[in-house]
Amino acid sequence: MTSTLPSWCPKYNPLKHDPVTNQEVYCICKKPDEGELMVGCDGCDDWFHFSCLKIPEQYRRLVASFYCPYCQAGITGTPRASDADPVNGRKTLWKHKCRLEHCFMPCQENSKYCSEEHGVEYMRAVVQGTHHDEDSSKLLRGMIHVSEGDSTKFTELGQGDIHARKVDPQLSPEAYKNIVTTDAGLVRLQNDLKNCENTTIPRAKEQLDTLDAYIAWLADVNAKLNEETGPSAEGEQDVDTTNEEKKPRKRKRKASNKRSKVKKSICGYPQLDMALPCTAEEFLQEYNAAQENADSTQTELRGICIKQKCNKHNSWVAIRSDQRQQEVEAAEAYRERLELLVRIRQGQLDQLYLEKLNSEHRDSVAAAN
Amino acid sequence: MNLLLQDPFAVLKEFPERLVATLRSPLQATCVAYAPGGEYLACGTAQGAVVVYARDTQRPVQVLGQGAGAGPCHVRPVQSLAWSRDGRRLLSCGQDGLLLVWDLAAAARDPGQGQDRGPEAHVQFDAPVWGACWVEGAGSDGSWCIAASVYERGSAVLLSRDSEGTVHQSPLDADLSATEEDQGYVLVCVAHPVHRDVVVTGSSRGYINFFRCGQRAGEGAGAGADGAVSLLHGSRPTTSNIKHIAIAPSGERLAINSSDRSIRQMAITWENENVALSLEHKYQDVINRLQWNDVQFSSHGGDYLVASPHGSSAHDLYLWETAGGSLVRVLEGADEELMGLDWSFRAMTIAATGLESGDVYEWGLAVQPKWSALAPDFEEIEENIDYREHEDEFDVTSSAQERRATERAARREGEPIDLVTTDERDVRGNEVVQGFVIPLDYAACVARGV
Repeated sequence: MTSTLPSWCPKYNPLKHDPVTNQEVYCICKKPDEGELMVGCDGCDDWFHFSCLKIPEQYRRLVASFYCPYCQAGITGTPRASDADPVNGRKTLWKHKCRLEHCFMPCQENSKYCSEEHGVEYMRAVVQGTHHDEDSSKLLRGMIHVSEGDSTKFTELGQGDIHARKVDPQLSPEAYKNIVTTDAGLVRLQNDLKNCENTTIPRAKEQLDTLDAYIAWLADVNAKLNEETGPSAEGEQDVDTTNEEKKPRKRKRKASNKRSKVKKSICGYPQLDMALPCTAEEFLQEYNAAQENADSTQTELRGICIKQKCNKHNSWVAIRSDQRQQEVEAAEAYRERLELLVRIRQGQLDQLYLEKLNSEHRDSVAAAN
Repeated sequence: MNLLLQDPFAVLKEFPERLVATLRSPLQATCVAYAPGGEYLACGTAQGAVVVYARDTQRPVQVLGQGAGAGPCHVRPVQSLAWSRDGRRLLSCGQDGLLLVWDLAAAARDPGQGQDRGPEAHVQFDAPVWGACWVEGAGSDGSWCIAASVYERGSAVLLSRDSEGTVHQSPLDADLSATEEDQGYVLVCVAHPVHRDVVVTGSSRGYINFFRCGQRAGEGAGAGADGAVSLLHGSRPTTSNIKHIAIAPSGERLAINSSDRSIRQMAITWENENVALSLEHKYQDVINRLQWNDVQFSSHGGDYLVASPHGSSAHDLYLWETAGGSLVRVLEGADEELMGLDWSFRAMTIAATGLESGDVYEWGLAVQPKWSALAPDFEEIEENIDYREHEDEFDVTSSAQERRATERAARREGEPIDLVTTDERDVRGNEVVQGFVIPLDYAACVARGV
């Protein structure tokens, strides 16, 4: 137990119901709820009066997470698996309050004010000099310095998003070059990114396109093959062919007629690469010639598997497209990761650069004084 | 070896007894392989990735493939895995015809870089790869040699990588005179555990061949790629497909799992360059007549044999004692059919993959700490007792005998104690291999909360 109960807090009492009235009781005071402002503890789910915990009531909207004194002391509250440190992680957290002194509303995201009106009100007070303190005069000086006496720039200050704002390298080109431009890590990441965008991804896409072209070509070949064995069977009489040619063709047709519904197609697995060997028509001619000459024992033509039912290269088209697709996806995932890394690194370096500028400015002011 | 400090009865156990762990992951494991040192368990998955688990923590330390970055990876289920002898490289074969070699020393992501390292080498075949084995361990110059069996090929393929990183391919029996009879397609190839340049192949028609691909180790893989391969043995113990060949670590016993529903256990005898096989036992499920999915020997001479039966009704592993051929144990606990299995001799565990869920089941020894085994008068107590020592309890009494004993002890204390040299064999008698430790990107691990 690292923290202990504050002196004003009574010892923990597990009482939940008043023994006399059987009303539910809450808080360190163990009194029933009478409509007074309370806050729920994130550790033990009990409720506590603002007044009992000596929290000003105007802070009511500023509670981000609340833990009661008992939970903070480790007496109550079940440790959750998500808590890194079951006891020390329990700390009441507050939201930032609006910059205006009398306003107790929480700040908006990326802002120091609860609302735009209060921002304007505060700034007006600063500019008009009605708001006198060390902070505001420093702030005013800083704003005038940044806007370089230009009134339009001055009015535009604070318009954009603070985090997305680009730093200005011109403020100190030397420092910017030293810190940001020549950073080894950033340069390497940017080179990798360039490499990935200009070489890896186009190459992967190109391979995918080559494969797609080849598959289309193969589909074309197979479609024509079907046409030929299908309608040409009727049109056979018109085509004047010699007897030597007719015989093997007929035999083939018979076989295909027996399994009339079975579509005829070749495997088409390319042994070497995906380059298109020739047009579909030429290939078909050669294919038919090969079928006639070698009497269907040949399994390869121009490095392409022409078996009709090929177990060996079973579903090679799907496998190969998955592979190429995966390569493209992996390259794109890589690019995304690199882009993120570049962004993070850039942010870190910009921060360094700004800090450097700040310290330089402070030094020069100190020297002037 | 802390094993020495454990219950001697646990150390003396010769086979795992009960289910101790189940590794579940969204990736469905299809095959498993223990690293030679037993520290890691590699799982090939149906999705194509290879996951390497640390065996002690049962957490994945590395997922190979399908990351962002360079290099090909499997897009179909992984068919088999093989670790190199030094545990540094992992070989994975996929049904997509890819054979990948992963260098685990380099596979960790470069910190600060976005890229996952791809495999060290890849070979694309035109058909699924059944399996592969390391013929000789990776050389120091990065050269290695692998034998692989590919779908519908009459010969195993020998892949050798020279020191420049080029991979040469050649059929294993290229320079042997063509055998008279058709042996069918090669389905299995296994490296001999003792004669490490010997590859045993099994074919679809039941032929088994021993090849020696010698001279490769000495002269470097590149120079010896077309070195002589000699046939040491060829026989046909069965007429059906040989699905698996398991060889006991001592190299004297061999088990053939074939699709005729039996496992044949054979003794291997070497006479110079002649190998003879003699049938010792035949294991069959006489009632259900089931085939066997996978088979594996135990350590040393292969005193035990474990096999996973085929069929949705069989959820157990069968374990036989090989000397007598009797069933000694049925390893229960999984509730589905088990496929690939592996036996880690060092950790005394058996891992098997489930067919349906893709979970990995691990059987091991569950040791109850028995402190009384350390000292006979040791007594376990319920609560702490505040012990008060007597005034003279630890006083030095000086009987002559005790003086001699203390003198002896003092003399012994003077002797230098060797704390550095490791034993050659662990407490179970397995050869101690210097395990390879996979480098981890700890920062990334912490970030992921592993």
